[in-house]
Amino acid sequence: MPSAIDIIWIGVGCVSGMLAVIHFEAWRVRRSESLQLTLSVLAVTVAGSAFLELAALRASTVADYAFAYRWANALSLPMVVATVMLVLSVSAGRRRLAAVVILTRAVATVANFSSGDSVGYKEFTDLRLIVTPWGDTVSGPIGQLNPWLAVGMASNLLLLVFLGDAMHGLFRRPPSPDRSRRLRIVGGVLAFATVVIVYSVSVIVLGAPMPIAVAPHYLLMLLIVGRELGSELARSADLAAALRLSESSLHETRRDMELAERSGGLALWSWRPGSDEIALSDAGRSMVGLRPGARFTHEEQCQRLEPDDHPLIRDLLAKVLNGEAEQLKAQLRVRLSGGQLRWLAVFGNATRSDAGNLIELHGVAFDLSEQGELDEQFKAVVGASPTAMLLVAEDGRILMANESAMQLTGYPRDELLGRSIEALVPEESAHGHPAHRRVYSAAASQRRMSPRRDVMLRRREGTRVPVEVALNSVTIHGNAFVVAAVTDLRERLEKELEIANQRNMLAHMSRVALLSELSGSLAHEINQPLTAILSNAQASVRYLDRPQPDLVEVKEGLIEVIESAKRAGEVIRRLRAMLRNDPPEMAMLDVNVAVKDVVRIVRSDLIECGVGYSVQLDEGLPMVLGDQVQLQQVLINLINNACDAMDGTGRGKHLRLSTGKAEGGVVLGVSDSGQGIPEADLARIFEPFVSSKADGLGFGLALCTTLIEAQGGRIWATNNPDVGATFHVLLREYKNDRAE
Amino acid sequence: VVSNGSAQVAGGQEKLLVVYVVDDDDAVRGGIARVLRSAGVTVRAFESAARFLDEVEQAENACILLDLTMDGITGSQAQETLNERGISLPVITVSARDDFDTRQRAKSLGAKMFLRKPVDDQALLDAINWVLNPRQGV
Repeated sequence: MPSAIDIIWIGVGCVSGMLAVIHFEAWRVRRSESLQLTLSVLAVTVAGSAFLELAALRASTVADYAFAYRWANALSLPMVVATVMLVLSVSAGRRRLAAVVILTRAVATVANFSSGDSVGYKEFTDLRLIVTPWGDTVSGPIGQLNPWLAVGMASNLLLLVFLGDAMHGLFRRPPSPDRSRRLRIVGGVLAFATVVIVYSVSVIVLGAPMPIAVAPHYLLMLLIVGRELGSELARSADLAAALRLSESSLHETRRDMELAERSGGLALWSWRPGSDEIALSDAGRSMVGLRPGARFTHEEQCQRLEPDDHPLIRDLLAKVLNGEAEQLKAQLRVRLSGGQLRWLAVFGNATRSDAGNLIELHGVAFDLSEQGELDEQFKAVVGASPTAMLLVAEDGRILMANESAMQLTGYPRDELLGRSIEALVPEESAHGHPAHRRVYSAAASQRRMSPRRDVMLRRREGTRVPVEVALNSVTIHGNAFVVAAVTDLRERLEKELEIANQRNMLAHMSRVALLSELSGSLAHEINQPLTAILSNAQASVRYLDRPQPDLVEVKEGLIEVIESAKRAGEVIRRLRAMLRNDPPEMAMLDVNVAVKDVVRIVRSDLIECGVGYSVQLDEGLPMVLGDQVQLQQVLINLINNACDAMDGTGRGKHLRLSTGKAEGGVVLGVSDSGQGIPEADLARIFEPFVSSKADGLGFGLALCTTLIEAQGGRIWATNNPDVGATFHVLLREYKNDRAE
Repeated sequence: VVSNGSAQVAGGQEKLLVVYVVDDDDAVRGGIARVLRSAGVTVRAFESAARFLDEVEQAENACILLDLTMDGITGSQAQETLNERGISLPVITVSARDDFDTRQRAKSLGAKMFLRKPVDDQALLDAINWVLNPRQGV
């Protein structure tokens, strides 16, 4: 019949052995859990010490007892080491203190084998019988204590200090479930270590009649720690189960996404700030022309994404990075290896930390190629457009530019893109330009700005080019941009200048021809004052030659000479102006004065031709803008035409010149009493080489039209209600402020 | 020569010599009138043919210096009117335009002389002398 002692100690040994196996297996499964290995070692030593203790308790000779006792004592070294490791492995206790505990225990263990029978007893002299409370009789030692026992006791004491310090350290940490668990483990170890040590001291030092019983206490401690770890294991199992669940749902999500990828041409992407790489799903890789599994590094991005889009991407990323935007939407182009362009629509969402820093940007992309190809064709048209086109961001940076823009500005593509639009504005106006831009973008969100012609563009090397600029606001994905269409005016202005030169030359030739036709009239104009001069001068000489010179008459005559000489000078001056080949001078002029001058020139011709004339001038007219010589030339031309139209009609010839106010300026009328103009010809007659005259070149009216239109005016003809026709000339009112 | 001419004009006639000067140009009319007066000729000046035609009448020892290029009634029209009214005062046409047509027309309408402006004083006085006394002519 086995006694209780046998059952308990054998039970302790078996249970400890089982625990050792369980913890070892647990450690084998998860090598990272070194705590399990520690517990396993501890359990092995507990099992060993249980059997050694039982051997001692049942020893019948002193030698048997001494053998078992010495080895049981020896096991306290691995037991202490494992205990210390256990505490350290739950991140409690000081390593140095732990080292001291282990060192003193090691010293005690050396003494255990080298000094006397054991570290406890220098020599066992006899055995005594101890009766346990439940009636068993076991062996107890009688002997002389070993002085090395002090080292063993010191080691035990240091162990308690180490454990107490570990508890204290844990208490000082902020409360958490994890701390409580550690406290329970370290607390359990401390409690049982205290009990074991106090019990051992009582038995050995004080000689208390009790069996040695380290193993059972240690088993209890093992169980408590094991339970804590068990609940830990259970929680891990829960977590693992939850993880499996979420993995499977993640798997499902991924499967859904893959389905979406395959069916909808949808690709997934993500990017973390600071990363060189954009993570792409395989669909995404094929979209940008990468092999499956290949990395989409920065270098690849630069190479594959269209260079024109780089500023746009930088712009959008900057907005997400600095927190201005939470989403990213863009249409980007990818240049495939065959040179073909693929359009991708890219959407992204920002994930941010609590502090608002961007953690990740992730989203989808899909292929827009069909739409993109149309856009691309459109872009090709824009690209080939002779008009320079610039896409400008709100802050003035140039995002896109076509080939013409590069030619016009002289910047290569990489220098033009990203540059501020102010770089293209002449220095003197560049300073105020950003303000203009802001005013424009604030006011003209959708309004098209009428082209401005008096604009200069600064080329890269600093020269200036006259241009016409039309601005148009566009909004792309919520961002405002301005499209600037810039037309090079150099060629046009050169042509205009050439045309103006030709026109002026022609006008001059025509004037010279007109004046030669008017030679009779001009002779009359000059001869009149000359007659007055000659007659008055000769009269004055006669009065002076008298025996009593009549000085009053002499003086009056000379005054007349002076007046007429001035008049002759005026006539010559006017004539010279008409004959000179000066470029026209657009200036303020009085239409009435011009008409009066012309009347003076043609008057004698009209009389000569039997044409009666009347002049009706509105005296309250505004000044007009024009060149006096050319206006008079036109008038003379119209008067000549009017006279020709009245030739041979058999009716009275009457010419009427009139001036009057009209909208935007002054209108001048030349009316005749001729046959009038067939309605069908009213517009045609202003075309070149259309003439009603047999000997006419049909050039007069065409030239008149050219000259008047060059002055910003207009010329047209109407038939009079009664007889004849009227030619109207509208001249623009002169305004001090020339701006429109 | 000048004084000769004046003497002839001024003294050769018993009746007072009157010259009608018709010219719509104030300066020209004034100048011709002044040079005639300085030579002792009585001048009746008119700024338009209409006024002249109102006042002119047949007289001895009178002649007409008629400008051709005038607004309103022209010199030629005035000549026609004089002819219609039977006034046969000798007419000297004066014109700043010297072209064949003008000259021809004036002659056909009965002008005794054609003078081109500007007119030298002596030539003018000689012409007046000649139209009034053709037989004593130059």
